[in-house]
Amino acid sequence: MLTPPLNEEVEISIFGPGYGECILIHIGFNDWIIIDSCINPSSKEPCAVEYLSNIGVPLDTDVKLIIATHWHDDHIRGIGKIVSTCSNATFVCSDGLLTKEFVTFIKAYGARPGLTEGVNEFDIVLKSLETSHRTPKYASAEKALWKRNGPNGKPPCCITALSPADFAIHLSKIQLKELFPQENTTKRDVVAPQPNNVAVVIWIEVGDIYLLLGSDLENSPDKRHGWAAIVDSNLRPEGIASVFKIPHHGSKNADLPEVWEKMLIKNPLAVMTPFSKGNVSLPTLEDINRIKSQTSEGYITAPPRVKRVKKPKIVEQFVKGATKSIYQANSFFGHARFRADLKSLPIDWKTELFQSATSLNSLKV
Amino acid sequence: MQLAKSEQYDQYDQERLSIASDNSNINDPEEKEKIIPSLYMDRKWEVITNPDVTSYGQVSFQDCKFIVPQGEASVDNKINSTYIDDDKFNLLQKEIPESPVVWYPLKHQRTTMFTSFIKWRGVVLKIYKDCFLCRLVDQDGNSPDEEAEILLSEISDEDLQLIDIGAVFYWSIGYQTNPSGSRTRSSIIRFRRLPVWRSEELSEAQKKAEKTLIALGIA
Repeated sequence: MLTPPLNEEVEISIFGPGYGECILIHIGFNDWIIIDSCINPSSKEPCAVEYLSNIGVPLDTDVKLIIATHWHDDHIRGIGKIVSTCSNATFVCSDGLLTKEFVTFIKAYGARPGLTEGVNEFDIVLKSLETSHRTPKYASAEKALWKRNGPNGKPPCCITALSPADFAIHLSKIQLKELFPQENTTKRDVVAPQPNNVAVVIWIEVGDIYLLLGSDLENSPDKRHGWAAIVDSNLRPEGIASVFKIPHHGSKNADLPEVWEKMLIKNPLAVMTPFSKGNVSLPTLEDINRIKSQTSEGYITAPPRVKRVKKPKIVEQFVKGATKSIYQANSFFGHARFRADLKSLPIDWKTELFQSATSLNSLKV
Repeated sequence: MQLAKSEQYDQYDQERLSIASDNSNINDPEEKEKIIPSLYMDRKWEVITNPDVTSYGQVSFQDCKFIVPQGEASVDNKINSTYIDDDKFNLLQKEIPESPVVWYPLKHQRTTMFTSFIKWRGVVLKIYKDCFLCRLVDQDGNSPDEEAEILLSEISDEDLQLIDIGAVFYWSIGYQTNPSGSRTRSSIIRFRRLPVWRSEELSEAQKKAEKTLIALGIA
């Protein structure tokens, strides 16, 4: 039974992977934050819009912030609808993203509907912002994105970006320039460049509760960006988080032990979504064991690798003959929800798992 | 009942268009525009190879714009070679109607029907030595997205040169029913022939981008 959180309750809801992930945060007193977006495979609706509507949250007034941590297709599907529906929310994206080159690139591809869904989503976002006269906000390391000072008995809340670092923004601008189509080159779908340098990591402080949401940020050998830059920063907000959205689907290259040591409480509540691309599936068994060694409170919105849905025999025969391998891209869809009373100390998180969501301890890999 | 000439043409065009559309998985108008002229290719053949069949003659057909320039023919060979069975050629040869009536065989007599079990839209993500990784999206939305490594040996020589990161293709698996009624299992992978970016399009995008950035207050 889906019920709205109480006024004095913090809620973290993680959905995925309808292809991608979406995080909803209730920071108390009917203020909501949406981070990224994915589509519910059953209803084909953006999870955030669907869930908030189901629990009776007025989208046009109660959603304060919509954050697109990066523009990869698996994090922004349906975000266009969210931005247009939540008409008073501030839209946040990574600094360096809305350059002239990138917006031109969006406009060029956006004029070709059906070619690239991710790019089209961003085009819808820009059009929505334009028609509603909203200016997007840029996220970069140590920048406050939203603040509630706590009048009328409401607990104070501050949402801060911990990334991208300046150097990552610089790298991203170079990367985006290369995406821009050249005259007389063939039109193709856009395949997002790797590595992802500018994922926005979010730090949320509400009352005595601290949350670290890791987006898809990975480690870098260059300490000027990636997780090392965040850990080493003396400008990041103080505090240790009790909830950790594990970055990049639990992959090893996004895990830095210092994050667990310096930024999180012992045995934090840790949650992630799975991911698969071709024969790569995250998290791996090794990843799961590594995360379990850090916390006994690990959760995932769906098992990392699922069997393909079998098709008619004739299809399977041709597929077998024509391919070296084939995997289902989308794992089962799930929703993990955590709620805690803002006034109770120590913080006691109530966990609820819906659809395919499960704890790492009970996961059969 | 005989149909008036223009009605016959219209009916014929509609049928041929739907056949090509059904079988080719072409969803975007850009490519459809290219294919429509090709539908007249076999009519051109009828006129050129059987100039005495009708009283309308080749000139009339040209007046009706049924003749396509030679240059465009090669673009559409794929359609004729893939979807239009040679049996139609034989039918037309054997059953030439008397002048002045233009004879069109019934649809079921002249077409190759394709009944697909699944139609995927694919995008190339990575290219390896003997295969390419791609994302497959079920066009009917009945099954979840999949990612496959498709062997290069499955791709026609004509299409091999089109494989690149971001290249789009369609993969249909189903039954092909020939005009004779015989059915064969069939798997067709066809890469889209996408046009190039034109300078006008890029300039237009640039203008739109400038307008958007000003409107958003971040110019």
